[in-house]
Amino acid sequence: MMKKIAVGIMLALVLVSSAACTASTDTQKKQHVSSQLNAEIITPESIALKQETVLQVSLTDHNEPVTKADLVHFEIWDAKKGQGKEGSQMISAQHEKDGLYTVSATFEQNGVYFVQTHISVGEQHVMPKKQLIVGEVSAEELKAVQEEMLKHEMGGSEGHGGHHH
Amino acid sequence: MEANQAVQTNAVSVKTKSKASFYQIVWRWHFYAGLFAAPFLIVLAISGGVYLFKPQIESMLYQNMYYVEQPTDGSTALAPSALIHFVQQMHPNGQINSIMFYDDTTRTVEIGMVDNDIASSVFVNPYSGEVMGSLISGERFTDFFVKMHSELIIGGTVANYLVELAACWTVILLLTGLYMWWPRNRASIWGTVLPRLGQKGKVFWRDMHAVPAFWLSLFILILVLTGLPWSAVTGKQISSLATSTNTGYPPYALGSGAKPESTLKTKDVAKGGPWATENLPVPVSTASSYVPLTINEAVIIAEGAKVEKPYRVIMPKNEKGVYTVTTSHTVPGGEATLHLDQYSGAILSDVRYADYGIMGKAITVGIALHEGRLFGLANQLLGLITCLGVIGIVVSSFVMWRKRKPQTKLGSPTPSKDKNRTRVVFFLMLVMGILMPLVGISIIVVFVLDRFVLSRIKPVKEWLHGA
Repeated sequence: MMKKIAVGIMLALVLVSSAACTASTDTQKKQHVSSQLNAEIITPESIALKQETVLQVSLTDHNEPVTKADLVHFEIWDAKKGQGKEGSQMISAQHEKDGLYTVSATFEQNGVYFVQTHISVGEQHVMPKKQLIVGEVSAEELKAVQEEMLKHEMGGSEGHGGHHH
Repeated sequence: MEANQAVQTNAVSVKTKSKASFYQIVWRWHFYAGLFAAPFLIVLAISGGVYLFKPQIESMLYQNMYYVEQPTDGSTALAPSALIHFVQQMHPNGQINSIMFYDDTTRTVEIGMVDNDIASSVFVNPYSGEVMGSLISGERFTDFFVKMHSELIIGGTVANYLVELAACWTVILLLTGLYMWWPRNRASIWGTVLPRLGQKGKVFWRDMHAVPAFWLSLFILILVLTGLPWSAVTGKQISSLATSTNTGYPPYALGSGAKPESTLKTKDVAKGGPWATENLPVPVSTASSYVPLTINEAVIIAEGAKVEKPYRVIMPKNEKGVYTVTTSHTVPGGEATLHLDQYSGAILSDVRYADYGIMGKAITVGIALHEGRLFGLANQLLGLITCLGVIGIVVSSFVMWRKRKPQTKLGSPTPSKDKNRTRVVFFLMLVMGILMPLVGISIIVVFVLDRFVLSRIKPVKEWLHGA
């Protein structure tokens, strides 16, 4: 009698646990992705000095072109100023066609620049950032840019930036 | 019990006889279960009682690292990247992987770092950038008690299973205990809701055991149930039940779990990035390349998405990684976990408390209750009273046991001669064993061991089974 009960219970245990296992494999893999807004910054293969250069950003939402973005801005600054965006230039972009937004800029000096797009489409915001090399940049200059960036990395904290310890 | 039994012998009727028989059987279960669970309950109560007060204890112990004075000149906190920079200067080889901001303006910012394979938290003054000190992960004062509470210090799966086993057996102790506590022949508040302090010996100790246990039974049960989501076996069952009914946590709800990936827009992503030690892009030979967003930009996005402090930002682990923003509010409701594309700042996933399923919410609230965070100091004190009560209950049971234990035997209650009732109770226990698998397995293991091994060794049998 006792043995029978024990065997019965063991079977029940096995059944319950296997049921739990199958249930867990059925897990719904629903993705909670909020943003499908994609922005691709398109820049020329090479950027010449003191010439009007066209910079573009291609916007898609769920792989469909976004033609009515609320805001598309290009922010450009010299990499020597680091990522603190000191002295950056903000240009509003115009929609051309098929989700392609365009600005033109002229680079006056050789060097490394950052171009960041600020995009708002409804509740969604993206701000991808690219690094551009304009004209001829020597290895030393690149190194100098890196070192400058380190110093400016602390952006937005001028009053306390000089703290030493 | 003695008192009850004495009363029962006075009024011999068929009905009381059957009750006495069940009582006898239930008492035996209660005895063996208690014998096993008691040491664990003491460890859990002590470690839990200390851990409840983690916020107060750590604020006091690590005051110099945790708190700074807010400048009176109205200056604001430095940019997160600046704080990271200061920490990086102190620990040039450290890899910074997270930054935590507290809602208290006098709290330091906590930066998570791995240096030489050692994970630690570095505390930095948000106003001056001064590094206040660091603590190695897992070596804080309360970490010891967490480990004691969940893995009995020795650690590992076995210890974790033992804790769960003891917790589940505690449920059975509560049920069998309440059955024995239930007033049978006379309805009196003495010995049920109030102890008979005037009595001496066994009656006194019985009341010191049963009366507080009755009062605390609900709290103990709540602590056991709210602790189970952490457990290895039952916890897994709970989460698979929540997942299968779609009432748990939505995908990407937890910062420690799976993460989405950043979209790699082009093959030419600048090397380096926030996940790397140097936290700056290295110019590459191509004309243009994407640059990961800085921690400052990630924080701006998080604040823009109405994530409230305290929250932690976890750095992307590699090129495909994301910035993960995860809150750690003490009171449930403000939870948020966001995953940000490290190149575009797009919010790839944003899960709030409101998005949790009913079980996800219940588990979140239950955990807060268990940890004494749900309703402030009162919650902590209730937890503490329960912990102290459990210790008292174990002590009184120990006294009762010593009082009746013969020198040469374990002193277990006499087995009932009523085979049918013994089976009924055994069956009920096995039903409990289905609800709590570890209990079921342990019953079967003990049953088989007792039936086929221990019963054949006469001295052991006599010692274990009493009269």
